[in-house]
Amino acid sequence: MRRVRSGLLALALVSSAGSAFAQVDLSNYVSVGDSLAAGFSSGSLVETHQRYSVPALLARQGGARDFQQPTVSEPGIPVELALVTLSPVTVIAPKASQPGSPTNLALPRPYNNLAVPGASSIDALERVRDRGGLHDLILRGLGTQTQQAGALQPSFVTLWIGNNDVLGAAIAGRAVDGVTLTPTSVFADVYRQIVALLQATGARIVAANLLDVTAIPFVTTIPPVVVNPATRQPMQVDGANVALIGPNGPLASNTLVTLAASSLLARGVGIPKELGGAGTPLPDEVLLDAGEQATIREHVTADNRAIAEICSAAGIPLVDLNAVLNDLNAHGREVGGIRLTSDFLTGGIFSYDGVHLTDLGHALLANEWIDVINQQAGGSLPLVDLSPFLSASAAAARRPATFGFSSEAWDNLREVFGVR
Amino acid sequence: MTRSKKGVTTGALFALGLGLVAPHARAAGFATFEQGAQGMGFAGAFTAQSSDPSAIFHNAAGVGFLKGRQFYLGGTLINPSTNFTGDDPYPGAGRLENQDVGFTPFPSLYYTQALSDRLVIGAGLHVPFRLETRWQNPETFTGRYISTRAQLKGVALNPTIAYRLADRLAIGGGLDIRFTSVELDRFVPAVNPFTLRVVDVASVALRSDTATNFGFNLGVLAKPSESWSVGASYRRKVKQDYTGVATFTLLPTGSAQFDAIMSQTLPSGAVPVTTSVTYPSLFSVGLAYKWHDWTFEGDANHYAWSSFDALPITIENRPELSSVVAEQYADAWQFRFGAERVLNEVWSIRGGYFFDRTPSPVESVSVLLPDASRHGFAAGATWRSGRLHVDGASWYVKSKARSTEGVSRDAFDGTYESSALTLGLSLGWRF
Repeated sequence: MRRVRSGLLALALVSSAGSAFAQVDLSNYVSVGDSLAAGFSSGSLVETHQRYSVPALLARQGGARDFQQPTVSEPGIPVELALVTLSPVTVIAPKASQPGSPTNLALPRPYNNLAVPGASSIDALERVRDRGGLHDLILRGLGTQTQQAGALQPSFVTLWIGNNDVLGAAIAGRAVDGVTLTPTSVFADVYRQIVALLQATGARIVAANLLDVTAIPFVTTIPPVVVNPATRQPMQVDGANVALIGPNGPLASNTLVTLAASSLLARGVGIPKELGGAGTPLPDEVLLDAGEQATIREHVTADNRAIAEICSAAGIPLVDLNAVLNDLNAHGREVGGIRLTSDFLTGGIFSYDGVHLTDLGHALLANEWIDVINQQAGGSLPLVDLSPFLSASAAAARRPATFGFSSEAWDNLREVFGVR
Repeated sequence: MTRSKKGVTTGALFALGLGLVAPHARAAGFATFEQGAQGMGFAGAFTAQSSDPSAIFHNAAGVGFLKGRQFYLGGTLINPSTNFTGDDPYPGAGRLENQDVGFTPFPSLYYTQALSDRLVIGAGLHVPFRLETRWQNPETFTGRYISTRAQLKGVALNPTIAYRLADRLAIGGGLDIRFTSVELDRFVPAVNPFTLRVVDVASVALRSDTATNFGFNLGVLAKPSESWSVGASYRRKVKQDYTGVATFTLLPTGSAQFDAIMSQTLPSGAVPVTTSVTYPSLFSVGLAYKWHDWTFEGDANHYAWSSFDALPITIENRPELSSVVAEQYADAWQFRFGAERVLNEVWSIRGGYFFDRTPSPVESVSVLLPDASRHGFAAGATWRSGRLHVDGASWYVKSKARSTEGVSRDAFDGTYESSALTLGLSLGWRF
């Protein structure tokens, strides 16, 4: 009798597990988003990284059926960045002169991963073409992201859009509402429409909020002071650090200098003549002063508040990736004795463009998604095994202090994100 | 208490600290209870009898009942093994790792001498705490950035005096002089900026000097009747401060530029290190009963492991490499039961069982401290001939499979399964 009861209990548990899994059926999974969801890495959309995009990993872990992406052959579109040298200065540049080409254009249906690098929330709702850009490559004129998502009649959708509504300000070094920043009221309205359209498909939806783009390596790596390339330490005069020169004189200590300044610094721009520099100021477009940083953060906070309210009202579980990045910045992430951080080049999580993730970064964030899917959407997806992405992994090596983020690398980023 | 994480070798160095602890073959935590083969035959339930010179460890008051001069010389061989099965996200579901340290010997040597009808002195050399972990294939072991090998070794010299207050009541005490040292090996990881993948950039070996410190132990033993005896003992906690060196050996990564940066980042050669471990106090109480040819004993042992809260690792002049490892152990009880049957004037046989509850919170379970509650099964025998008696005993210790439940502090998750075979042999001689 006891054995019979045990059997019934086991059967009940199996049934329960089965029904829980049914709540989040990834068999027909669609991703709507931007570069972070596209698997964009090191300034490039390339199959070697796309295969580890967050949606691709979720699809694999969730048993998605025939999950298709707009794959691009090596060296990617644009050409993937690579680290050329660490010494005497760190130089990052495209790894080839000619880009790769699409390898899945003939797919006779929309891709499952519809995320388009550079896409804003408005783009996800309205844009179909972009004159030979990545929208054309990925959407192929078949409709907007949301339209194609609906056409696929998905069982499950991840929505990770809005980063480009704030990221442009960081890349352009200018925080102007309505120009480099999408007004929050507009963002909220558009986001609400996207959610409504996706909900109309009947799919289970899980969303993620926006990263603090003032906390990514693209803007946190270069200090606002002159660094001695030989010692990799700040140069000091009379015991004090020497500030770089900006349009309004010496930079305040809380100024963020973007990686786009590195090629200028290598030519002495922004460095006082007395210290061997050109004595000319860094342009404003590679700097974020405290006011600009505050403006960007306010937008991120407001946009995330809007996302939270809209998702809550719609019953959509939300992955708080903003908090994840903040935690990474504050504490790093311990994995088997390896300390991963958000540091540029040495942290293991951000790629050579300082904005997008490495394969390991994608895997870490995929597990954040899985936690929410499992805890709030009734899923039972196994976590992504990090071993293949680590080969085992990372304490911070001394951060190289001088960077040569090539002008080509910067141009590629600006083009992808539509920054003029 | 939180672990500070500062730089590339921090992990190495907190691991150095963690290396001070570990094995699962002995008492939970890293205490040992194999202190004489007769006591082992009772599964360590010996506080209320302490009828041989190993009383110096079990209950100093027992020394007060020993006649003449007695040697009790022996040792123990322990053969622990641990299997680890990984979980996602790291080191990955189904990943198997094994530990096999072979047979580890340690001594238990005792001498007692009655100075009068009531006053007895003695001295013991035993090992109250010890650990050794050694994971197979260290170069590819997935936990190699936490530890590949750890060893805490040393002995306690335990001069003892006991006094029989009455025919059936004795008290005793001893000075507990500890000589211990620490060794730990591990690898140091870093992200290779040319590949954005993790590589091994160095190996590090910690070797401490032998540290010396003092504690004491007290005991009382009463025999209210021919059949009954009851005992209690206390051994004070001892804090050991270690000095030593951590020797870093750089490993080539294939990138000369990266290697050059790592050579600037990591310490070169041997770096002075200090750390400390607080070994817990032990309180034991036992009750024994004799019935014809049988003797039964039940004991409860309380290790105050809460004193093992954190492990500071300080690298001289390298605060960025120093750390404090949170352990947050809790006090834990052991329960031991044993029985003996005297077959004849030559032979006696024994058996017993103990349950040893782990003091380790699940977050602290790691490749260095894969601690778990354990069950122990004992068997032993004595052969007597005149003034000589030879005691032999064996323990089979089986830990409950323990999962890290996805909350490992090292984010190294999986399930540990440990077992150990222990062989003890002691020779007693009474003058």
